[in-house]
Amino acid sequence: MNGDRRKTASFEQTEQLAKQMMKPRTDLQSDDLEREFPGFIEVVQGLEREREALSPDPGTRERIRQTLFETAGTTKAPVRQRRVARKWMFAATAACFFFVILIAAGFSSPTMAEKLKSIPLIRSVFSLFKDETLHIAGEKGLVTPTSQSVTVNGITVTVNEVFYDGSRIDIGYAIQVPEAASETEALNIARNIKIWEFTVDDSDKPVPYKGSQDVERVDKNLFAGMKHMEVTVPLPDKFTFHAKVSVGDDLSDPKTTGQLDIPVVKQMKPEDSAELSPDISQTMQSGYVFEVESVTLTPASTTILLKEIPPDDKPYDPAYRLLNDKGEAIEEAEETLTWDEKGIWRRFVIPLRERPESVKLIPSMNGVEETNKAVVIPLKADSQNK
Amino acid sequence: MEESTPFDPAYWVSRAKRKREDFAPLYDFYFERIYRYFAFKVGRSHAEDLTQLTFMKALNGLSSYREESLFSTWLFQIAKRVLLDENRRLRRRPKETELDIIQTELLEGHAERTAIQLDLLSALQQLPETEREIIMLRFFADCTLVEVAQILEMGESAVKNRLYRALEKLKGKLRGWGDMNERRQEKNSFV
Repeated sequence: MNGDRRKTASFEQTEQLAKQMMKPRTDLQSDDLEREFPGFIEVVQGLEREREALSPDPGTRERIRQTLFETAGTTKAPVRQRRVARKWMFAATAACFFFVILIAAGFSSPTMAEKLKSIPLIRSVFSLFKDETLHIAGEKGLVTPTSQSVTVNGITVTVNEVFYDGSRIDIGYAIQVPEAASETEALNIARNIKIWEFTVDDSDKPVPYKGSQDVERVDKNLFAGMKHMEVTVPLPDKFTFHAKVSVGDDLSDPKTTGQLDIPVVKQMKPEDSAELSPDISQTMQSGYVFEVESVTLTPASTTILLKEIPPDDKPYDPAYRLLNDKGEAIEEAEETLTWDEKGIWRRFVIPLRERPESVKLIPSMNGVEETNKAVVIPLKADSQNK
Repeated sequence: MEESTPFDPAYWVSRAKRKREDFAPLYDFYFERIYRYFAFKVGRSHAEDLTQLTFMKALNGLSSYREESLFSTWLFQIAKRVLLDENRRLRRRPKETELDIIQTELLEGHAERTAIQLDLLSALQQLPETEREIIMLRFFADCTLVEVAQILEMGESAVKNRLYRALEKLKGKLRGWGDMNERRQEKNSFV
């Protein structure tokens, strides 16, 4: 009897609580809860304090908004921010120290001062970012060094290397913010430097691309930046890339806008890269289909593009494991997922120093691996037309 | 007296499908909720990247949203996928430096909080996964019960019951620790 009463009371309490909870939380007043459920108020207040601690900084909303709605004649796709690896921070610090020594020597020796002019600000920006494809490209001599520089509103942007493989372009640059700016101001300024409105040679037509721009501090007011672009139209093997450099979004003010003319060269022979279209499709137990849309081979990486077709509107959580031809897991693959009107696209970019004969793709759905649905993707360029 | 019109996501979705810029009100309305979802899951330092990725996917994939569920449900499902992808990426690329940074930042963030909040967080961590998810969606991501039910694919009554149970458990754990602290303080005052 008592048990039944307790059950009914508990049910009523749940119902009352639920009524309160049907409102959006933002409309809910703590005192409503206090009145109805004095027993929970301590917990609810604790949760509210935690909610405050998890709230974003004022600048975060604006930063994301800028990225989200930034248009440079193109749509900018999200690419996760690359973090400067710690070991490279040490290397950069050591390089800066060396640089200071050189400057000091420059004052004492005119010859040294002359030599200093030719030393780039940062030797390799790509080496500061954690992107294995660019590291391999650097090792294989596929990166073009350059020293294009522009000063906008006292801020000097120096492009010091470019990588181009036919579809992907990465531009590494240094940003030197005037010493007068505090570290916080300098970071904001560096984040606000935009390199955009790209045109090729004499054409006025903006190049369509998806991409991102990352900035990391190297030293107090010195920053390393990287512009990553996936161009969606064919470009020549060698061209001059014209780009606007601006502080913020305003391109109309000449004081805050400059131009860079960046020489871009595809540092690989046509026979070194290939695009394959293997006819591979698999249907998982749930009816979820994945197709190997294309395989792009370059000396620095292999890109596998999957098209996925869910059977219905329910949420699915597919995942894939990649193995090389010896059955060893390929750990370094960078995986990105994009959706557009044509479907769901999953791209694996595998930085490869030595390319295996094939890659085995083992799918899983909601954490359950379906080994019988694995597919083997050949990576031999001669098995397909270019 | 000024009257405010409730925000209508469906209206802005239909506009944003025609004009990209009209996604801005949806972004403004849901930004903090998505950010806090990630801040709780992965810490504030990574929340910004994942929030950006979620809205970018939502904006680019808006045409595939068939409006069969609430927009918020669809958006949180994207956030869940982004989170799964991120976890998978980290598992696949266990770079020591990166993990070090994440863990250090998480620890630093925790250290800043008060002891009570640590108790609450510890209590939250001890809840079963679904109950923790309900609390998190309800209190940090500001979801209504209908939204929580859709996101977790549960019945509304099941969500109500588990929310109530979760709050009771949290209360019980906090009280238990409070009593323990009081006893410890009393003991210390006699020494």
